[in-house]
Amino acid sequence: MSAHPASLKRRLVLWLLAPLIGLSVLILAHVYLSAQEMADRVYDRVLRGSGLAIAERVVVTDDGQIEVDLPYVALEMLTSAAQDRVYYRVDSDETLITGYDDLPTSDASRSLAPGQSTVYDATYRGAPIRVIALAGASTSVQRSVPFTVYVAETTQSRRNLVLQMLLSSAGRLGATIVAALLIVWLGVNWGLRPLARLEGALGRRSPDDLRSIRHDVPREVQRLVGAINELMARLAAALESQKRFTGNASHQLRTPLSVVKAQLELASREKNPKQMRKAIEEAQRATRHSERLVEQLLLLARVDAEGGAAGSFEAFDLVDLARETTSDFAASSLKRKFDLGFEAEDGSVTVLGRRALLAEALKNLIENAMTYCPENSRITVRVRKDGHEAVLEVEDNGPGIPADRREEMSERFVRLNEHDADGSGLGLAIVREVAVLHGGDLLLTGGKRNKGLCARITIPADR
Amino acid sequence: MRVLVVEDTKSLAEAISQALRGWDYAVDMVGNGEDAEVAALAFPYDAIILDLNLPGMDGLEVLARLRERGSDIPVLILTARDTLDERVNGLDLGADDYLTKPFEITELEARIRAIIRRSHGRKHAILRAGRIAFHTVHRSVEIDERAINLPRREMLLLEALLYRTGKIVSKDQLAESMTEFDGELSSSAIELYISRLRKRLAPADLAIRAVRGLGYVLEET
Repeated sequence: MSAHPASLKRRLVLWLLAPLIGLSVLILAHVYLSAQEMADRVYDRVLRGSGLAIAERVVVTDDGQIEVDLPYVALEMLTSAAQDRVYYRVDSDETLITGYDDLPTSDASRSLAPGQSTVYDATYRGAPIRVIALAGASTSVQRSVPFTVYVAETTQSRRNLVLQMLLSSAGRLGATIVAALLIVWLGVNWGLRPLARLEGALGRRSPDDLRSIRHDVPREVQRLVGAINELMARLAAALESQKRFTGNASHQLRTPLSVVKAQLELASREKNPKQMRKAIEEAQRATRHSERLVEQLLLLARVDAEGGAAGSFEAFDLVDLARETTSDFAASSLKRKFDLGFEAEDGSVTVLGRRALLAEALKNLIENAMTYCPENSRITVRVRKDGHEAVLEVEDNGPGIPADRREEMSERFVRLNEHDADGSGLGLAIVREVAVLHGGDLLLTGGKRNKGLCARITIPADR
Repeated sequence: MRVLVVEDTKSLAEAISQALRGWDYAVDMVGNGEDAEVAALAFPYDAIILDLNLPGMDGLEVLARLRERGSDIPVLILTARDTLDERVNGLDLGADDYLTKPFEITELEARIRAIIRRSHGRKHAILRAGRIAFHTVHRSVEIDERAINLPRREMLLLEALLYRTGKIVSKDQLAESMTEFDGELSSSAIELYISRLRKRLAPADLAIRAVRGLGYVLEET
């Protein structure tokens, strides 16, 4: 997660704000252009009117001179508008007849045919002006003399009009944007209210309350809540099994400890040395039992921890490992009169895995056989390759496990005989979990001629 | 006093039994729930020590069934699972006390004495009647603060009668409270012990009256 998680509200508002502002700029540009066009149309008409009024008054004297009887009303029309200044000139043959002789003309205005007109922008005395040029011809009896009337005004009023229209449009757009943002902000707030309620409800929960969430949430969030619920269910199941395991483990550890404490207390009270010795031996036996149990629990914890780190597998020869482990039991099996044997095909059976854990698993299987089989029993450790599978099995001809109970025997803390105080109920569970860790499984079947037990670990062989 | 120990770990059951027998209690051991129920309904136990984790029927179920059948023998629960739920469950089902494994034998002994006392409505560890005082903790008897020596059987008889002062106790009940599964005490043996006890208690202003066909009553004179 990033250091500053993005706020949904802020993101929505930003997403909305950027296009709205862009759109507004476009609209304002359009408003500006059309306002300018409209202002020009309106003001140009007045300008033309006053130009025409002047042109009407251009006359040719009898000696062929041009004269203008300037109608001041025509200029009055223009000056009424705001603070604009008005200029004019009348030319004939590009010579000034009357007016401001430095009022700028244009190429178009100088080549106008009579009856034509042109409008253009220019700068005069440091201010922008709008000029209209009207060409005409004044006719006396003998001749017709062409002339051009120029009328110009500064553009202050036009600019004022455009600015006014632009401002009012901008104001309306601004109000619209603010309103839209406000609506989105409130809408998101309102829309997120169920989430806030959900948050409150989850916040008030006790840490071990893993019931699923049953709040009304918007459809968009239902899948998220569904996923959370699924996670909670898995968590609850894991927690439950953890609890069961801890409960079992504590029971298994506390009972032998009780025996140790009770027997030692008795020994300390006892005056009869024989009885005292008996009590101490009982305590020692219970100590050994709890020691073995702790070893098994730690091993199980190691298998659990390894579960997440399958990357640390190494390649090794299963035949080698089985031979070595079985040899370790040779002396004790002779002492206890077991016929312990080892059978393997020639060559090696290479597997990928944790050597130490597989050795522990095999050790557990051999120890199991030696614990539950009577003297003179036959115990055989076998390794072979079966297709792509490596098979490691321990077979005995002892009492075995009834077929209908074989499945549950590899659960943690399940013992065949509940009175069996020596068994931890973890041995086969460890073997199975080691097998599963290696991508395989543990199978319990009857031994040869369905007598005894055959415990078979099958894991993938390395190719 | 006769106690039933229900515990499937044999060496623990034996250790507990040995400790209780050390104060001359009669102790029976069973290793599963079914046997526990049968025994508890058949014999007049003064207390039951009940492990919860048993093969087959578990301890809580045994307890529930005993209470359902109207048995009010005080029960001390042994549990390895130290969860509040389990303790509350046990107490709610009618257990009188609980002890979490691993425990001290001395604590177990003290708690057993306490639940037996409570079941007879006593709070004090010294039982008094007439001029006699019976110390339940170190098991000694005094008359007028002078210790007297009592043989084992007579001591047990006196304890059983003292707890029930003024009430009739049958001969069978007395016999059974002093024997274990494999032992037997005839009613003539009880009569013999009673007559010996009578003589010893005479100076203490206590009399054991026989009620014909019913049993004995301990009375102050």
